[in-house]
Amino acid sequence: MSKQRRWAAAALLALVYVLAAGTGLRLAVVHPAVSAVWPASGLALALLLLCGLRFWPVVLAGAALAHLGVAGPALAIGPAAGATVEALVGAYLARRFAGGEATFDRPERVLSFAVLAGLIATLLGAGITASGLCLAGVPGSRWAALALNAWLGDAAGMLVVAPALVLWSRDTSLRLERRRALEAGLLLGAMALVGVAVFLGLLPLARGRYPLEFLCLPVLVWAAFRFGPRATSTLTLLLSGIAVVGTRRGLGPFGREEPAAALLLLAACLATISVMSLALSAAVLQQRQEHQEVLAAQERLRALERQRAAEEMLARSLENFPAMIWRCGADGNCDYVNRPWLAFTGRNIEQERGDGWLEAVHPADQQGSGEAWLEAFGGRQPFERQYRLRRHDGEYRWVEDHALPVTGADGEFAGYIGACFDVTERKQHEEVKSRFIANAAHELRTPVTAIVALADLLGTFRSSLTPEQFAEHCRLLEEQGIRLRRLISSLLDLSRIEQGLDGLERRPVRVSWIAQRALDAAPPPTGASVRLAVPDELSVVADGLRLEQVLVNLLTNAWRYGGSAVTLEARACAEDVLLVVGDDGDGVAAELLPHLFEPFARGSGARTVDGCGLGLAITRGIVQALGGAVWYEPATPHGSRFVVRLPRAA
Amino acid sequence: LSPSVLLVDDERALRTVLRTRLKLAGYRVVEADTGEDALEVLEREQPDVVLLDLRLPGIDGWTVLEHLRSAARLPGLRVVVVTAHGGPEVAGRAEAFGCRAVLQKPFALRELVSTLDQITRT
Repeated sequence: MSKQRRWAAAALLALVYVLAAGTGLRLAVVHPAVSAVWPASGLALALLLLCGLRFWPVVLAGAALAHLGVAGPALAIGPAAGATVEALVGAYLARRFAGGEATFDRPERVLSFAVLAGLIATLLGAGITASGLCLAGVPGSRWAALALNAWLGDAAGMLVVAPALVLWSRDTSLRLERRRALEAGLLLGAMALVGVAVFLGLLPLARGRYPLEFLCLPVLVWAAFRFGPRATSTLTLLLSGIAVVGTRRGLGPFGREEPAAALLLLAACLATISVMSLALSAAVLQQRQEHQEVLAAQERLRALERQRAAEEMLARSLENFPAMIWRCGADGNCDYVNRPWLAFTGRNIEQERGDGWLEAVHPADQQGSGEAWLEAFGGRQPFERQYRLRRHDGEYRWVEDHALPVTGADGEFAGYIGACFDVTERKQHEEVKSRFIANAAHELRTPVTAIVALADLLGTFRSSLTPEQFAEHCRLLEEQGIRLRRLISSLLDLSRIEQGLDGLERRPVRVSWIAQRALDAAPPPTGASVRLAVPDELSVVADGLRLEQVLVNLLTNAWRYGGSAVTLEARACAEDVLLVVGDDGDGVAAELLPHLFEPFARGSGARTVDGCGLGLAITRGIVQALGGAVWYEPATPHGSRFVVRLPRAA
Repeated sequence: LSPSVLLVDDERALRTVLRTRLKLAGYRVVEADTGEDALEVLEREQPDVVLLDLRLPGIDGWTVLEHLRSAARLPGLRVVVVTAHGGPEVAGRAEAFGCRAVLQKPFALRELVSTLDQITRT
C-alpha cells in the first residue's frame, strides 16, 4: 500500500471507527462506556495490520472521541487506553506469529490469529478498560462484569470485522463470469434469508426461540468451498449485522435472554462461527492452491520429460548420422565423436578426446590442418579442410571436414560441431577425370598438329615437292584425318557407354559364333597365331554386337602389345561364363596396372603402336553394362590374360 | 655446310612432314622416336639444333634434358622444346635447362623454320 493510500485508508477507518464506536455504545447495556457489540475493535486491528503499528494514535483519538461523547473525560481514559493497547498488541502478535495480512490464507494461521488477537489481546484490552473505569469511579464490584462484556464484545469485533476488512483490502476485484456471478447472488440471498429467518424470527420455528443458529453453517460452508475466505468473511459480517439487530429486538435464538446475556452469548456465537468458517475456507484455499501447485509441477515434469525425449532423439540422430560427426567445447578440445567416426578410425572415444583425434591425421597434413583449424577457431569462423585420416585398416583416406561454431543457450560461444566425409573416391574420380581431359586433349592435338603442318607444306611448297613426296604427304594427311575420326568416334562411344548404353540387348548369344566373327574382324597378323578353345554349345546373355566389339578390342590389344601366340578360350563357371584372351608376351607393366582400364592408359612402348588408348576403357564399360566384369591376370610363365565374366544363358 | 637438326618425336607422320619442310629449308635432318634413341644419337652426332618433343614414350623430354645437363652438354647444345601444354611453368623450366625456345603444338611450319634459322645463325 502506498503512503498516500495508507493515510487515506487510515483517515477513512478512523471516521468509520468513530461511527462504529458510537453505534456500539448505543448498544451498551451493562455500562454506558462498555458494549458487548464492539465492531470498532476489528476496525482498529485492521487499521494497524494494514497501515502499520505507528497509526495507533488514530485508534486512541477515535476511541477517546467516541467515549468522550458518552461518558465524559474521566470515564473515557480507560476504554480509550484499553482499545489502543488491545489493537496494538493484537496487530503486533498477528504480524509476528500469524502471517499478518496473509493470516486468513492458512487454517493454522486463522487459529493462531483467533488465540493471539481474539483471546490474548482482547483480554488485556478488556482488563485495562475495566480497571480504567473502576479507577474513574465505577464500583470495583462491577469490574468482572465490565471486563467480560468488553472482552467478548472486542473479541467478536476483531474476529468478525477485521478478517473482512483485511481480505477486501488485499483483493478488491469483483469480476466474475456469468454463472459464478449468479451463484454469488444466490449465496448472498441464502445468507440474508437464513440470517433474517433465524435472527429476525421470520421462520415459524424461530419464534419458539430454538437454537437455530446452526442453520447458518451450511451457507458459510458453501461460501468457503466455492468462493474462499473473502466471501466467507463478508457473509459472516452480514450475518452478524442481522443477528445484532434481531437480538437487540429480542428476537432469534438469544432474544429470550435478558439483554446483557443475549448480546454476550451472541458475541461468543458469532466469534466462534467466524473462526470456524474462516479456518474452513482457509483450508479449502490451501488445498486448492496445493492442488494447483501439484498440477503445475506435473506439467513442468511432463515438459522436462518431453525435452529429455527430444534431446535423446537428437543425440541418437547425431550418433547414427551418416557422416563422421565431431564436436569440441569452447576450449577447442574434442568432447564427442559419433559412431561412424569411431567405426572409421577403429578407435574408442577416450582415444579421440581432447586432441587425441590428431593422432589419426596423416603426419604430412597435421601442421597445415592444425594451423587452419587454429585460425578458424581463433576467429570463430567456419572451418573447411581436406586432410588424410587413418582408417581402421591403416589406410589413409582423404576426408573433407566442415565445421561451424555453435553457441550455447546463453548465446555465448560454446565450441564447434563438424562433419567429415570420406572423399577419397571422389578425389580419385576427379583425378581420373582431369587426367582423361588432359589425355584426350593431347590425343586430339597430336593428329591436328600433323594435319596443320601437312596442309601448310602441301599448300605452300607444292611446286618444290617431287610427285612421290606429294603423294606420300597426301596419304599422311588422309591417315591423320582417319586417325582423328577414329579417336572422336571412340570418345563418343565411351561417353555413350558411360552414360548407360541405351538399347543394349540382353539375349542368349552363342560364344563360338561371336568369337569367330571377332577373329574375322581382327585376324592374326603375319607371323602370329591364334588358338580357339570355345565349346560349341556355350551361350551367354549379352548384346552380340557389343560382345564382338569387346573381343575385337582384346584381340587387337593382344596383336599390338602381346606375344605372337594368342589364345581365345571360354568355359562355364557356376552361373557365369569366363572368356579369356591370353598371349605369351611380356604382360602388363606393373606401373600401368592401377590405371589399366582407364581411358588413355597406355604402356611405355605403346606410343609407337597404332591405337588411341580407349580400347580397354570401352571394353570395361560394355562388360559392366552387360552385368559382368573384366580383369587382368598375368599368365605363366609370361604373358597376359584378360578375363571377361558374363552371365551364362540357360 | 648446311646446318643439321635432330628431330625427336614419336609421331611418324609429324616427323615426315617436318623432315620434308626442313630439308627444303636447307637443313640436314636426323631423327629419333624415343628419348633413349635421341640420347644415343647425341652420343655420336653433334647436331646444330635439337627439336625435342617433351612427351615421349619411355623417358620423357625433361629426363632427356636432365641427362644432357649431367653430361655437360647443356647449355652448349641448342635445344628447342615442343610441347602440347603451353604455359609459363613449362617456359621457365625449359629456360632453366638453357633451352633456346619453346614451340607449342600445333605450330605453323614457317614459325618453326624461322625459329630454327634464328637459332642456328647465332
